[in-house]
Amino acid sequence: MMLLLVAMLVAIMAPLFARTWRTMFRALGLQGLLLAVIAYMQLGDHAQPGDIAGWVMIADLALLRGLFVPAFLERMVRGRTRSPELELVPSDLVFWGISLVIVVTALWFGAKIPPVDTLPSLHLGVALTAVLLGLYVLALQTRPIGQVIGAVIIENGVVLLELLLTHHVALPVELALVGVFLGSILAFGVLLRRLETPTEDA
Amino acid sequence: MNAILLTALIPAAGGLLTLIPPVRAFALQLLLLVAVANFGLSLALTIETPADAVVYLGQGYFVFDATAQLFMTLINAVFLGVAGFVAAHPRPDVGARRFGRRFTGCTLAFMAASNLAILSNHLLMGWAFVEATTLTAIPLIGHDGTRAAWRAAWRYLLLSTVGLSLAFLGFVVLERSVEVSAHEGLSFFLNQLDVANLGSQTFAHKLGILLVLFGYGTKLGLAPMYSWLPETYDAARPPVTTLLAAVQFNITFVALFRVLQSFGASDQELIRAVLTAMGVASMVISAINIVATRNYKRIIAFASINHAGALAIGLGVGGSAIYGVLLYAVSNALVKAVLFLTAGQIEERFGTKRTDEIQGLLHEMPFAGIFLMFGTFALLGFAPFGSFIGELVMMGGMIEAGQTILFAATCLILLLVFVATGRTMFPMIWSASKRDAGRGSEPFVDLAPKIFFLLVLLTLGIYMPAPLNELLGQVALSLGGPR
Repeated sequence: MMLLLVAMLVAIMAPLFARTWRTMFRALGLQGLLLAVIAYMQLGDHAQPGDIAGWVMIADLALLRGLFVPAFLERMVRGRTRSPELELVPSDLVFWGISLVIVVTALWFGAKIPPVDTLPSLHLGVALTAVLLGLYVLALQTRPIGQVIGAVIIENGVVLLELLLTHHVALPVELALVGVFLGSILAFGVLLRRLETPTEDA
Repeated sequence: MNAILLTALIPAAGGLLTLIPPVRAFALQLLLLVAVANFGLSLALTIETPADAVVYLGQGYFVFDATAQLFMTLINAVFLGVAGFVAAHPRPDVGARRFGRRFTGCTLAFMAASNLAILSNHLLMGWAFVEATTLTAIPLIGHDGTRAAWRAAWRYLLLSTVGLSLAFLGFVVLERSVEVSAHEGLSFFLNQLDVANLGSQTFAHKLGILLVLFGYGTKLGLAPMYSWLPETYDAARPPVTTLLAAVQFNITFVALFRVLQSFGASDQELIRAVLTAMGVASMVISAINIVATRNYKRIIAFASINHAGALAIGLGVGGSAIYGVLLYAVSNALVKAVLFLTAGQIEERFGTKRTDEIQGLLHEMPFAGIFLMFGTFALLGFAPFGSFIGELVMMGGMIEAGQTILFAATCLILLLVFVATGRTMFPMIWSASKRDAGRGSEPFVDLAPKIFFLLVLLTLGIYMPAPLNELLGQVALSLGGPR
């Protein structure tokens, strides 16, 4: 689990240092797949007979967040932007320094909230890193493509925090949450296609 | 099938019907039919059900209590007014007819989600339905297809999603704090929440409450994440703006109520401090913007932020102010409906949203001028409208709670808003017309919904029917108001 969480931390930070939007979308997909593996392991720890909601959540994470989100967003953007390049955070020591401070602060914060066992602390710290870095990206980005990446990073951080819980939500609630997330991604994609015009890159 | 759930199922079924091509030709008639049925049903259910009754439905996921009774009737009344306005409005071109079809489908889905959000007895389900209303409103906001419209839709979606994600994060943090302190899960069912054992003193618990308030505050247009509201209200067509301002605002308000009903007693100090701070900040920001703006639609939008701020302050003060908050919220839904529908007609006639380019409204569009005048009076909290009584009770609550500085600050901001709004809006109505245009046509069917809203507003201010008073009292009681 420790390795998975470290991998998740890397996947969360990867879009900030990547230079093309394709790589960033793939990093989002990787986050989804890692979330699915973490959820699968958590389900094994707290499995209850007939826990369909847990399996729905794993399917949501693997299929929707891991595969559909990057593929759909990439399809919506393809042909609409002149340049494959995108900077989520300006290539500047100051901005990278702020990113690093956010990561360290989130991990420190995770370690301070009880219980202070290593694994839950790291789990909480990584989730908070995602939420805070997502907000940081949103604060810096004016381009829709960058903003949607920030929003999805926040969403993934919230789900990672949700995975820390030992009690899962009931099936109707899980289905509602999946439906809302799918609807949001579809809306983001359609609007992204309309707003990301070649002139934006000029 | 329980009749209460029909208030969501009827619009949902209507929305599905609009997918059938032959039905599309009668889309607006269908919209009106559903609106009449829904308003009639919600009114009948509210009259039939005692104010203190609590009915659980759908395996406990839904509840029909005083809060649901009050706000379900309110949003369906606004829905009926908007449907009547759209169905009666002339549709001269293909674009307008296409808008009518899209409006019907999306509005019916929006109303189905709105009714379910109000009925939700589960905090996360309620959250999901509020988000669903956001998604169904996107095609309506961007309908005009202009870059400005899509940008407004984008900003609306982005900030709503981020705000609601933070609210969801708050719920997760709350659950985590309970698991750590009590070693058992937090039930998100309102009637199963054991607030006494929630470990409300922990940092995580407080952080959770803070995030939920901040998230829902964003959706209400409260500072600091309010910037989506003026842009969206300005870019969307008037019936869409009305639905956002009068329906979506109130269902989010109900979602916030549900949080307060659950955690208000255990986390009173924190909730009051956060709501008051957000409310004051929103009022200050909106007042500054009202002074600076020369676009009448944006002025009404900033006034909505001002009202949201006043409501947040009222909730923060608590006690007897709660009754005023409810009356103010109900009145403002109707005021915004009157003003945004009128603003749309004025824009259609004059082709501008700038206040300094419009004169002689009473001469060219007498009814629109009258509605704008009375709407602005009600907006500013003049007697004898319901908003006046609501504001008065809230102010009384502040004095009663010993919040004299807050009282003085609120009075000062309201005075500034009054002067700025009057200075900009009243010349549009009363000044002499500079152009040689005759009197425009204002068919009665266009006016009927606004007359209905104004009459209800007057009724709330002059004579409060006993059953409505009892209902307001019951909701106020659930929020910690006096018995």
